[in-house]
Amino acid sequence: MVTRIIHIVLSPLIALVVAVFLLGLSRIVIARIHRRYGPPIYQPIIDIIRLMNQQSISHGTLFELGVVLALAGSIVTVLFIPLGGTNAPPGSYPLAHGLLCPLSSSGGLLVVIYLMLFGPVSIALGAGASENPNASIGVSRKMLLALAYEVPFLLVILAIMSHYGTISIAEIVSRQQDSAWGVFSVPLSAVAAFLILPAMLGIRPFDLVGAPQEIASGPLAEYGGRYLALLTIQNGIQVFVVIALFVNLFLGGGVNVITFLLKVFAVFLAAELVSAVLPRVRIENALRFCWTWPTGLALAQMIITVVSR
Amino acid sequence: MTTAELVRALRHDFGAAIQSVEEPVSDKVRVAVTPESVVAVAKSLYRDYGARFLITAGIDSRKDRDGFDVDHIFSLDKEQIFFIVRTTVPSDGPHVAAITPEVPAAAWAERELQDLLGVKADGLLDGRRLILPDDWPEGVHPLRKDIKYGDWPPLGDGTGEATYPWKPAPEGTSTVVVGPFFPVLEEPTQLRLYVDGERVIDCDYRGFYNHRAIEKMGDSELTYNEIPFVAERICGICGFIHSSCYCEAAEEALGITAPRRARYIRSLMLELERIHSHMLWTGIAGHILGFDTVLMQTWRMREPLMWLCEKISGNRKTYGMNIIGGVRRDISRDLYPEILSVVEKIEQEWAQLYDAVQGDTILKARLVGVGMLPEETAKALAAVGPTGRGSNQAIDARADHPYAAYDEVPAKVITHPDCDNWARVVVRLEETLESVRWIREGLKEMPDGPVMATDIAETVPAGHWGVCTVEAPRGEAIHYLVTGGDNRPDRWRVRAPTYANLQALPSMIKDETIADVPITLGSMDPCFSCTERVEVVNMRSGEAETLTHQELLTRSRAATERLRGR
Repeated sequence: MVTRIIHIVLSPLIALVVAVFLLGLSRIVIARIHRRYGPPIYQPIIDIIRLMNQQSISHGTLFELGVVLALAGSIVTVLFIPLGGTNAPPGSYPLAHGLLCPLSSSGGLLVVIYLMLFGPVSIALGAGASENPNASIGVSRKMLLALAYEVPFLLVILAIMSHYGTISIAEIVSRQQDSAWGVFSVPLSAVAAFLILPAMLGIRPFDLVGAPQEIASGPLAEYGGRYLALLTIQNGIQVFVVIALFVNLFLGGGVNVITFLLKVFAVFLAAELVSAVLPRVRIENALRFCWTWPTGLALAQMIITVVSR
Repeated sequence: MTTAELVRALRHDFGAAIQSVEEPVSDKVRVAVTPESVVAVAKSLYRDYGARFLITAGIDSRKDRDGFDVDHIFSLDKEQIFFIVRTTVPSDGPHVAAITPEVPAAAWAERELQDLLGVKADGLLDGRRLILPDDWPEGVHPLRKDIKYGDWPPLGDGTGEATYPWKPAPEGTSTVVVGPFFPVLEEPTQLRLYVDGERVIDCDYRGFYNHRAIEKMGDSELTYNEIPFVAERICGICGFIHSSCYCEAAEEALGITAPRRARYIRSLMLELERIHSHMLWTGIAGHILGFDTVLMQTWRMREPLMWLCEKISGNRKTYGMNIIGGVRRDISRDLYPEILSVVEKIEQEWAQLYDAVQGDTILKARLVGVGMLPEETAKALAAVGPTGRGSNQAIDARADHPYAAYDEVPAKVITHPDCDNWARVVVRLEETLESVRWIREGLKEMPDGPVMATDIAETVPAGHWGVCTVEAPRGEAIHYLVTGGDNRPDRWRVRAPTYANLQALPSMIKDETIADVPITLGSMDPCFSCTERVEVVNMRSGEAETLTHQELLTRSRAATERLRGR
């Protein structure tokens, strides 16, 4: 019981620290590709502290509630995702010490799919309350984009569930640690998931939800001060959740927290490198893209998996 | 067709309506016509002789002949002719028939005429204010001679409630306001988009938030030799074209010939300026599309060029080299190899970028078929520069009206038939390479000799005029100069290229999505000007005090008074 409580506190804490670190790392990676120096890695922390101290203008209860719900949703999602460790009997992995996933036994993938939609919907709710036309365009883009990547994402999840015959992420991770990683056993799904990763992370070429040059940061247009600080944290955690899920489903999770986080950084770097050399697309292009290549690949893998069983 | 034939044809068609003809320099004609026939003559020039409308200059000539001169300036590009149609209207309740219904490109020019000279243009469909602020009092027209430079109209009624009569939003649309300050527009301008979902149904434009009264300064404060330095500050990116254009127009009006070497140096600096401007633009275009890697890389490539300009002129930008009669600084022959090596390095890197852009499918998806400006529309609205050339209009002042050294070393006119944002990108990328080629040729041909004319008369006769166009990176700039007394022009009319291109914007963004508006606007490389509004926050008490328009105006006027030492 005590371990469980410690895990419930520890999990979001790791997510928070890594999320802020990822945001800082992203800026440095992009700066290096631009041949700039870029800010120090702790720049997001400075930004968040500064934003916390700035005047925050509210547009009503719903506007504030959106922020709180989005952040809460993201933090709760973390609890359902294994952050390294293993369920395997002691001895088989010397450095492993139990699975770090406080709510591993309840719901698994299905719950995560629902909870991951919680963030976008809450932000849509809050931004909608601001009645800024740029925000409402951003919200409509966010919803369309979610629709675009949810289709291949669900197919990917279905293929994995039918391959491993379970909806428990912990189970899927330990199965991968015993045999081959998901990237080898369901390769087309892994490719499809990597293709929609930028859309799920909201980075280029799919950063159209908050495109500053087009719609003045979209849903974030009216958010400032501590609301923006909280949403920055929320965004970081959301990024962490998506990548952690990818690592768990395709890269065998991690036998301990360290190897897990190393894999998270590797995937994040790969996604950022792709993102830095691409321009932003329009929402129609995003829909068309997500519903052709990733959907096609995910569907093919699902058929192969179902047939070969 | 020569000017003589053209004048003969017009005399045949309009008889006594053509009152007088002046041609002080060959191929630059000014005909005076009666106010009744101005529309017919303009229409005939535009429709029958293929003349392109450039700009209208209104002149307050009440002290000479009790009237206002309205000069419509046209260009016959193929024949290399400037053709000015002048009409003089009586000073009492001045009004003139608008040529806009026949020559659509004149729309803004005639609205400006109403605002600044108070000459009413009869028959304008859209006669709203273009330049004057919303709370500017009726009947005060700043370009009239009885208004002194720096005069202020009385403050409005203080309510600050004067508003612009925006076009009503069409049925079933919502309004998205872009500007006056918006992330991608670093300069003040306001665009109201009437959208249905993400699709732009219609739009309305309001700009000129920071009109700097430079023309007024030119005819009431500055002297002939001071103007080049103010002209260069019209634009922070392509200022040299304005000082070159003014100097060439003034030299023509005053009968001065700049030495060959000086003209080569002008061309050289103009081409260096074009390269840096196109590189800057390519970066900005990348930034608009969220492609910041392009922004950083092009600006990195551009930096050595800025250093080179600093070495030549003493400044990265705003070179301050032009003066009537030549240039103030010679370029040492020792610098030639360095100039060549810098631009050839750019050429090499630019060719790589060009290939990368050509092969980028996402960029193409964003640019091809977006922001269409069909050839007929481009022609009717007289779009210039890469905006016009991207719609297959072979308009380039360097070829149409050669100035500086382009008569000896011509520049190739680059056009593209696609009429979309992609075409405008390709035109600019290729023009950059063409400018490098010009510099290579130009340096080879550049003669030795003096850089300043010596036979300059002490006094300048009044009533002479000159007109010149210079191809800026964004399109052609036009300067029209009428000499006056007091060692300064009677009228100095400037038209920057964006003035012409912005008028084409509504048709370019119609039926596009909001996502494409910034890049379409960016594709014409718009150049507005900069200003700021203020909110004062008392840090200690945390109280924010927002200044009203009225208070801002009062404060800034007090500050100006202080500076003037009144």
